[in-house]
Amino acid sequence: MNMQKKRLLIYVLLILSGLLGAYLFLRTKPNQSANNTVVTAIKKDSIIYISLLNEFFDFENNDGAFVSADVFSSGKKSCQLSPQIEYGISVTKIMKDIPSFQNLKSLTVSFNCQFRKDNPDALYVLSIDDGSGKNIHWDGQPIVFKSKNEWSTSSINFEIAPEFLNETNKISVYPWNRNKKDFFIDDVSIDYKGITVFNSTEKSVAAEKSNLYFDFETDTPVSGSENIKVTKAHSGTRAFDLSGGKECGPSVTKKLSELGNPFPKKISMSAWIYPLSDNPNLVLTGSVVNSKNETVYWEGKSTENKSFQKNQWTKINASYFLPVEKLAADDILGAGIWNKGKTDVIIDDLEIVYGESADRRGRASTIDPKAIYEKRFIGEKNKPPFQAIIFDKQEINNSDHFSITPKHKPNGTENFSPNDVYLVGDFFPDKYNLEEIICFKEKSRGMFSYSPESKQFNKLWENTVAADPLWNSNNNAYPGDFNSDGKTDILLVDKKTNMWKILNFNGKEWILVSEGKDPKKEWISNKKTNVAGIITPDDKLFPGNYTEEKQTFLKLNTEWRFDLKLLEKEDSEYLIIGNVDFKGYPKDYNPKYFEFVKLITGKFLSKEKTSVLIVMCNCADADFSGKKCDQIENLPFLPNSVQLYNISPQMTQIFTDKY
Amino acid sequence: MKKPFYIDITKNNLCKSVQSVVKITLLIAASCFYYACKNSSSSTETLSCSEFTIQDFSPITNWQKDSITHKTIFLDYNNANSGFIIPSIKDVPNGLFSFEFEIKNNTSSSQNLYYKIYYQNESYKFEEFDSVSMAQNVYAEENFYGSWENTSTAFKKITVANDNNFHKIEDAFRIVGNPRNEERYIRDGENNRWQRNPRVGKYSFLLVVATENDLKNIPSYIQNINQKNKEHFVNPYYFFRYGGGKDLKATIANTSQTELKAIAQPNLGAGIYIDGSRFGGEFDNSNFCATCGQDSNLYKNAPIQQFINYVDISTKMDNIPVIADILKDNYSKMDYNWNRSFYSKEELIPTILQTSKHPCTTVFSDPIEKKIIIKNPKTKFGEWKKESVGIITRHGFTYGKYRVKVKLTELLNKNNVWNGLTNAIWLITQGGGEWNFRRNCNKDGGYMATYWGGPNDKRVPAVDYSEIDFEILKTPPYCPDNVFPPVFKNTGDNAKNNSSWNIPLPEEITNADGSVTVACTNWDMACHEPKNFGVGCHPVPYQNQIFEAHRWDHNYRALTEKKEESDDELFGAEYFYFEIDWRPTEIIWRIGAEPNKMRVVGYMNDQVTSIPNNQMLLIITQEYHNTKWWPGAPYSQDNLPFPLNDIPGEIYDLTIE
Repeated sequence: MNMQKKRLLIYVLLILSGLLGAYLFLRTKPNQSANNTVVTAIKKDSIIYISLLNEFFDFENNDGAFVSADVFSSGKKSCQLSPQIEYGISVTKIMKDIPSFQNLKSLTVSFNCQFRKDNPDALYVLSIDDGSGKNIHWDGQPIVFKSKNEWSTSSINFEIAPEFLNETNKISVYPWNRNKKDFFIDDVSIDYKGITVFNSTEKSVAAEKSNLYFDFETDTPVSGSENIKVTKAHSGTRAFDLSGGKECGPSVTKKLSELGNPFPKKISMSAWIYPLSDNPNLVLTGSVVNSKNETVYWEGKSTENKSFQKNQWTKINASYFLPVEKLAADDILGAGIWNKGKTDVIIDDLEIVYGESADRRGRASTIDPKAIYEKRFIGEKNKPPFQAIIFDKQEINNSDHFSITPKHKPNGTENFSPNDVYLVGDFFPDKYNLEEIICFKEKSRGMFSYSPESKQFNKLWENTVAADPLWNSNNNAYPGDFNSDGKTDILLVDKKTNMWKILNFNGKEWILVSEGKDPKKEWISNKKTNVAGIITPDDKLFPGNYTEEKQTFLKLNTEWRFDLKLLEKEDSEYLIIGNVDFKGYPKDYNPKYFEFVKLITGKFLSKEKTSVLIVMCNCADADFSGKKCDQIENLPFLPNSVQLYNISPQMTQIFTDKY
Repeated sequence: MKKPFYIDITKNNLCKSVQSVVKITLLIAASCFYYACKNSSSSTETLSCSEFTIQDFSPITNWQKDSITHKTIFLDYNNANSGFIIPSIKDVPNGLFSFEFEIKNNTSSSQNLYYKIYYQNESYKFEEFDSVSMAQNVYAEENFYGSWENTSTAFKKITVANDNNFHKIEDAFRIVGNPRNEERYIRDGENNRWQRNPRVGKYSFLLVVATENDLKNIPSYIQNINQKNKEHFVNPYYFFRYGGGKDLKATIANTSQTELKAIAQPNLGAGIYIDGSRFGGEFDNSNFCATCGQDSNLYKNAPIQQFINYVDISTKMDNIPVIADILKDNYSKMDYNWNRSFYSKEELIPTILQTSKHPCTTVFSDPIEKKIIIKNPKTKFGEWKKESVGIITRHGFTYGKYRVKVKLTELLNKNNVWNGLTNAIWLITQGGGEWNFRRNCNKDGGYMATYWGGPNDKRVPAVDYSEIDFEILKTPPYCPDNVFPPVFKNTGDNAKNNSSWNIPLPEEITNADGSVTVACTNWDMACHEPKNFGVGCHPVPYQNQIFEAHRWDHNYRALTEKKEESDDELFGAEYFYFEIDWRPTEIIWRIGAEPNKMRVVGYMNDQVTSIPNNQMLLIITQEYHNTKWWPGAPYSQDNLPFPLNDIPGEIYDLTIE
């Protein structure tokens, strides 16, 4: 092998190794990413058919050969075409000057027209030239006139194929008086339509998919976005400025098929307006245009003759019921604002709501109102309505250290989260015989007990060794008195090997008291809920002495809502006593309002009565299922918290009545 | 007999209208002279024609003698079921006002002269003269005027000697209902004077004296006010001031300067009567007591009775199965949103808004503090009731300024969540059918026939239904079509994303979070006769304010104006005043902390709505409404809890003047 071949081989090997390295890098990167960073799921977006740009020409500020002051449909001027004038006003745009031109789908020219003697048989032309000036597309469509000396309104739509969407291309539209007759054009509106993805803004995260909100602070996918600027704003610093005679306000179009099936029966919109002159005439419009570009439906509500004060923000709203029987999936539903009066006005905070709120779930109630009225209503077993069983919040003192409700939350085990696993039992005998809580975090675990003296949970033990041979996620842990010594033990069972260990807490550390392979079935079998009767697989059952009267059960189901019920057992059947609700919590911090909740029940306050410790938070995961949360979210109006509850003493009457 | 000073106006044609101008000038001069000569405080008035002179007409000599020109009387509610009598035998021993005047014969021979006294309510009347037609205002016959109770007693004869002396004539009269003894109010031979009670407000008194010759020229329908001329009554005030009577040269019509103000101010501690028919056939009377029930004392003397709302069965709603005290339980908007979203249909309680089945359990009359307490009763599991409560007066009036001093329940809690109640102070027809018909509506077939009928109800020329409301609740203040109803975001029920269900209210609602809307409504039964009758929203200007009046459509029976007011101001203080000033051609709604600090919150006139002219009663209620009646309301009644505790309201005073 000569040097040249060797060199070639080395080059080939180097290239191959480079390619291999790149391949391996690209292949492993996502995994690393998944391991090291939190993946934020993309919030669902809406595909919206919108007006990318809208321009309007009424020729009032134009001078030139084609401008006539003899005839006009608005103002005092129009565009005249005559035997001497073959081409009317030409509107030209470099493609890159059209916002989001990559999404451009069509161009609509709307105008008023009138001829003098003979129908001119004229055309409106769309022409596209490439960067060198070479024509690459030409389309002419006839201008339809109504009758001689009478203004009529026309609208022509030009489809634009994707291959013409090059940023240097030049797009022109103009009227062509090919037969050199006399006619006039006025009030030309050119609408560049396209599709775009609507990204939920921070504010609209709060809304359902059917609620759209535009505060114009960021790039906004509405038509006429060039009119959005820093100006007097209702919120933020930017708003939609309709001064200088601009007629076309913001509008949003959506394909009906995007809005679900059945189609929404209603469209509502609102906006804040700031008139800069008297007597504004704005029209909130709703419209539906079919695939043939025919208007199937149009409705508008005008502010004309209403008392809107100049230089003052006023909110205007409108709701329209849509003729759903006439609509098709391809139809485009539009909502927007038309500055009919052409007065100077600023628009901000546009909101559009499609459809109506969801109907309640379930079937209609079978309760006879007359039976209630005549006091002969008798409830049916395990069927709603149920009594409200109130649990009162118990005060837990805060502490800076080692409490489950510390003022300054550390990253230790005391920072309880619904993601954590908890075990409850009397692991360490104290003078009150109260139960302790063990919190299992991913890399640490700690035990806490309630002190009636300080009225707070204090940390008894903590293990923060991530790879502890005993306390790790390879084991399942169960509480119980497995060795019949009167104390609650911890049973650890290796998930793979089924080896088990029984541990006892001596006040300082956990002592291994017994171990073996394959735990007895009764040690772990009664830890699972039997699905029967009103108990479903999604229910979690929490037995306890909540009422002191007898053993009762809390049944939690969060598949749909936070649904906590108090049950009792008669023979082998569970009976619902009532729906549990809470009182005494600060502000709005009702546990049932949190997105992610974990219940921990135990005799934390007294040995006679079972309390409920509730660990709750909100979750920013887009696809949060209620089981595990990657992005715990601390909302200011609903801060994550831990609350302790006991059944209200007032509930005693219910049970007295019952028994 | 003392011979008083007088001015002799010798020219007969000055006897009538011209005399008033001259009278004022001369009176000023005469008074100065008189006081200078006699040093006395009594004022006199002398009117003359060639045949006779009269002076010192004093229409009421036996009531408030110290007050010559302005007298006040409070209507006596004792045993007033058959109608108010002014004065009652409690006011003056014989139950009659004494009046007197002096007369002198100016001729050379003794002559027979004839006199008659008329009275008229001046506060609530149509002007007698129509300057366009130059005739009697067509509505002036509706004015409340009368004379002696026995209308067939026309003019009374007196013979006056030609002794050049004044002779005092003394007589008596009283103001009663149905003063014209109209057949409309007589049934089975009984004159139901209570069906046209004396109006409250100021009364004037007109003394007419005529010679025998002139009397022949006074039509019988003026002499006997029971009679009509061409199917219409002729107002004697019109006749003598502007009509034929003005030209009678030997007739003097003397309007006294004395005015009497009649005020109705029922004693709210005098008990609450229970009308059994309102509670169906059999009802629980176990709560009857001395101040609430059906005994004869209460029947005769109680000015108030328990009111039972009309319940529209079609307004059944499926209510959330929650019982809570919204006002006290820190109930929040988030509570509202959660409860709205997270109860399934089968958990809801089918509910019909209720009224009391047990009289006297929710209304109380306190004879010590002379007040009435009402309360919406609390409810419990299995009972689930939202029960409206209220009281109604028992004596009807036409027109009047109705002012109540009340402390009704607060409607919003500290989180500004509405408790679902509507506080209402309203007037309603006294019913009764034909005797209480409103004036005919003469356009497009008349009024909608019934209160409850739909838009396809037939139209009739006259109905007895009328209603004027204050309704105060949480609903947008503006005209729905004018400033546009608020757009509410769609709500979801994803509990794992609380922004799905915890949707904030629109900004225009939260901007006025602590406010409630005072809705002022006149039920004109969709009479198209008013010149500016309209649908949608129309501005009605009044005293530098513009009120937007709204009507849904041409067949909608009511016209409403709304104004936003602070809940704390209206219902958070110890008391607050609400006033409906119902006048013949306009209705003015006012509110205020004190009677002298009232502000206008609603105004309508006969150009935009038909003002009722029949007899009505006053109602005060705390009632549950179906919010479907109030488009744009931010809270829906079915998503608000049942009341955990009683919700009291107190009524301290009712004055109609």
